[in-house]
Amino acid sequence: MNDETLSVELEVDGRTGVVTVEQDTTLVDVLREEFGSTAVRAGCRNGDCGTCTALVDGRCVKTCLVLAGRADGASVTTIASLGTAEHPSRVQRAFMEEYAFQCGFCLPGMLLAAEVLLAREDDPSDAQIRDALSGNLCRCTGYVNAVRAVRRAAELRD
Amino acid sequence: MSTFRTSFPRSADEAADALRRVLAANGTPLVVGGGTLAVPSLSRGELTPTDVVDLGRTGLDRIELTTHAVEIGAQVNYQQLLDSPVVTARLPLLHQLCAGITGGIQIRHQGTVAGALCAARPFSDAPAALVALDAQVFVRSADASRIVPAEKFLRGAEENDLGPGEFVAGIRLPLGERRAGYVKLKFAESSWPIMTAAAMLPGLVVLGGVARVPVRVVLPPRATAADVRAAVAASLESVPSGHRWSDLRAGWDYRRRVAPEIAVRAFIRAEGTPA
Repeated sequence: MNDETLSVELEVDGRTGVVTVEQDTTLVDVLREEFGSTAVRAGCRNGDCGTCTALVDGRCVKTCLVLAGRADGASVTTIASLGTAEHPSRVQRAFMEEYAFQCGFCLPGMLLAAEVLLAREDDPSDAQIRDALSGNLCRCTGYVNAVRAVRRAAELRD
Repeated sequence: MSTFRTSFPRSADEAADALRRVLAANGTPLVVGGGTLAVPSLSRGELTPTDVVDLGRTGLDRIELTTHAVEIGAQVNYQQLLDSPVVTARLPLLHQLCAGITGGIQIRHQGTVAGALCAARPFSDAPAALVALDAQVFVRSADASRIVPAEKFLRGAEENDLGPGEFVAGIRLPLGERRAGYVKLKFAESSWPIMTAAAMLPGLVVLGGVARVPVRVVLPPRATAADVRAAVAASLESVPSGHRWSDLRAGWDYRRRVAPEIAVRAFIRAEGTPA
């Protein structure tokens, strides 16, 4: 460590690590470069596209808007924790069943926003679903199937 | 090589001290609140401070009900306000505002009212609503603290009342028995507002996004929608040309023409809410 670096401890999807990074690093880059967590994508770096979304201490946030030191000691959950290929979460299953994505770049934000919504609301209205997903840009599907998928996920049980 | 140093103070006192030390070393500090505006500007190199003082770990994230007001810390985000029973019951204007914040669940968990106030973007959600709420701003520095009305704190477009070494520690929102309605105009879900209207009845509509600072429109007693239209139109006529707001989303003339309608919608929404 020198004057321009800092030490950051994180638990990422259950794995704890301490890394040394430049002080101007944002959390998205710590997760990708230091923890190899490519389930968090680097998109616009402007807080618009939502693809760097992760849960930080349970809060659904855009990690491009968080300086690394702010997250020191935090527990981070990415979509890698949602389910496995054999046992996807209900939201993941619903997104597949409803063809709610094509390239998959927006999925981290879409899936986590949907999980957070369903944790609050068992049976959200379409307006609530659209509102919850509105921090995520998708350039493939036009959102209609994503809304349908969240509605479907509300009907499914894990 | 890092382009700036960072500090993550654990209290308002520590934040004030961090700012004092940066200034004593002839540095240029930047205070980061929620991070939704400042951090992208840092990433793009548009802001080039020597030191960032990040308020994220200060613990200024409480919503407290006092006898005559609700006090919110600088780090209180929109989702906390939305979830707060006190805000829902006692500050309907703020609750309506938080429910419509652009950027989805994530930005609601990150953006702060105090940060939006400091950014002082004329068209953004917070400024006009905070003026309508008679918000008082808690300003801190290492040497002193002072309280400034939001209306005075907003000195111009993207211009606030903070001096060197000062930061906003919180906001006090007086409680009243007034009916409230908040409405904003935007063309797309992910857009900044074009303009905002915050009605506090009886008596007041405050408009954002029509001038460099919020415009206070006083309504006559027992005002009707027609009265609101007339009062708004007259108020806008008296905004000096150098203070009229125009940006890439809409010019002044458009704003002037839609303002009476947006104000009436806020008025109607306020009339529909119980006192």
